[in-house]
Amino acid sequence: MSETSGFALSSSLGLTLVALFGVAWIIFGWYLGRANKTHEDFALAGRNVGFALAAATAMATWVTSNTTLVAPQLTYQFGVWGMVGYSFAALGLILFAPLAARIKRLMPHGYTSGDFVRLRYGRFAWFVFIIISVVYAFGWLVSLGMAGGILLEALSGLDYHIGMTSILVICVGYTLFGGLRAVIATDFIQALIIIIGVVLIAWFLIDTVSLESIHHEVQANHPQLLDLLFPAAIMFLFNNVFFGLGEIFHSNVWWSRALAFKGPVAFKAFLLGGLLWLPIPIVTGFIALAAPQLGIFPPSADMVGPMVAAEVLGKIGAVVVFIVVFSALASSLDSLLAATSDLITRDIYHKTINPEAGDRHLMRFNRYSILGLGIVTWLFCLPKIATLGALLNFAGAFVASTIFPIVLGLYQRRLGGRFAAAAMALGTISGLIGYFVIGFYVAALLSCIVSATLCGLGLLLSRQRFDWQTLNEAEERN
Amino acid sequence: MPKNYGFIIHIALLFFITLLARPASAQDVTDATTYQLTLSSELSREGYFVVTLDQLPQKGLRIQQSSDVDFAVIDSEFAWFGDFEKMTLTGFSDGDYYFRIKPDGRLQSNVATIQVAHYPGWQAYSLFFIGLGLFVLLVTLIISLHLRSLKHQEEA
Repeated sequence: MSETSGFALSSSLGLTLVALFGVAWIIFGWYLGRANKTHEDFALAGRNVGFALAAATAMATWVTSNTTLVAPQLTYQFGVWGMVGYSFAALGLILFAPLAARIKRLMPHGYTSGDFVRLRYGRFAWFVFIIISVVYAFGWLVSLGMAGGILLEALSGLDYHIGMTSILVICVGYTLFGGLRAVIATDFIQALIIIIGVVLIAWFLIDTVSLESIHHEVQANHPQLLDLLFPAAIMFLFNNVFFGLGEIFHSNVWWSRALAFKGPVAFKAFLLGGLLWLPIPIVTGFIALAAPQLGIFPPSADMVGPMVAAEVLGKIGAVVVFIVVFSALASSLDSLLAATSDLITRDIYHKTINPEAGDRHLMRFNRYSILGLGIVTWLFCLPKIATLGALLNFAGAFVASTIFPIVLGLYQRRLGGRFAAAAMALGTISGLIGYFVIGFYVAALLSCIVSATLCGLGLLLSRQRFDWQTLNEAEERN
Repeated sequence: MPKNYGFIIHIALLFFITLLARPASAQDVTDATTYQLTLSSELSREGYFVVTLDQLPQKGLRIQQSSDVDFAVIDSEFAWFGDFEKMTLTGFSDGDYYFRIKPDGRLQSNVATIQVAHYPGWQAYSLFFIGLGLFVLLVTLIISLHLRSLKHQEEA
């Protein structure tokens, strides 16, 4: 597509940027991967990640298609509440800080969130949890792959499949070589790029398009976006909070980080990561409000962020947008690939299929899992099945059901496996009913309400007293 | 590294095949054109919806919006952006809205209509306050349980 057709970048420049990034990240991943000698090195970076890297990876991993593409999308759809509501997802990182410290203390030799659920609640609850984790992981992986395609399409007009395929090939490449060590190191660089880039974009936007003109246009022709009593937006607000909490509390992406951070670093790292993340969706969301004033009405709401930034900032701005969003996507995609492959290797393969597998065998299987996940994700991404926001919030029905079972499981001896499994299963079903009957903006909320009620019932009716040592002893046997 | 190089080569080839895909380009025709305009649904509960053309847009194409089926008063006009066949409009209050392509002798379209009816306030506020209550409960639970576990740890 030529530049005269309305796109900020030419297709050749878009492809060049992708190629340059891809080669740089893969070489970096290979360089870092040379230090991996054992499966523990590969999966948990030797459990020795310091504070700076820990805070950076917490923040960068959480800056993803959610913040760079979906925050503008939801602002475009839900107005001011979409923007503010999205920033509340920082609460997920902040509230995970105490849980991370507790996880590190209870399971110093643990590997995955699946390990915890199996040891704490038993096989049936573990089975329900693994289904939820796999659905969520694929939902997020597919949304990230799609976001890569949408980004390139919005900026350069290149076919969606090119961007989608490129980001998957690049992230699978360097995660395959470097494991979690490469993921965390690239996250550190990506975090710096994201912070500087977002500040630059906000600065140029406010300098170029005045707040008054944006306000005037939105108020005149799109008044609902400024309405603080916008019904769907009000329903969405706490749904997004519980979706974010569910994502972080259950996902092995965050558990593997809590276990990889050294000593008491986890609490401070997640707290700082959350505080650094808080303003980012406000900035990325705000630029969507400028779209009507600039005459930008995107074909799909999730394309509005990069389109506005590229329109206002021109070619240089489009390059900045590309680098920021591509970094954000890569920092999440690599983390998810690494964490999900750990879950498959450790929880499914090692614990149920081949308990005798040695360290080198597990390391090799882990790499096969990364490759396999990349291929399956690519196949799911081929048909562009939904908008990013709708796809992500479908997963919200699943993950929000895990919040109370995880929190109570970490601190309360009384909640038993049957109630935890029922809470996760019935919570998910209720969330899905809400998703299809009302809309994507109530799925996580309904799921969490039902799950919390069943957990409360479990605490009242259960007489068991779980022995915390079970978590540690079972790990030592392996 | 996995040793199945043949498999990897097949994946690489699939990647290169995707590079053959060509982006769409805008039509630049001078003949009279009639577009078929469709909306993503007949009812929107959130005030946003997608307008779709049945063919690629011509340059300078504009969409007119009115609350009157005869378009006696044009409330807004939206310039079609880029070469896409879809356009997402947002921020509409309750009401009936009619859309058509701005006729200029060369271009015309059907009239598409949508009703915007936001969710009732009681439903939104009920879910908001239930969510708020649950959130306060969760935060209180995490803080109190964490402080209690730290206290036990110190005692041990």
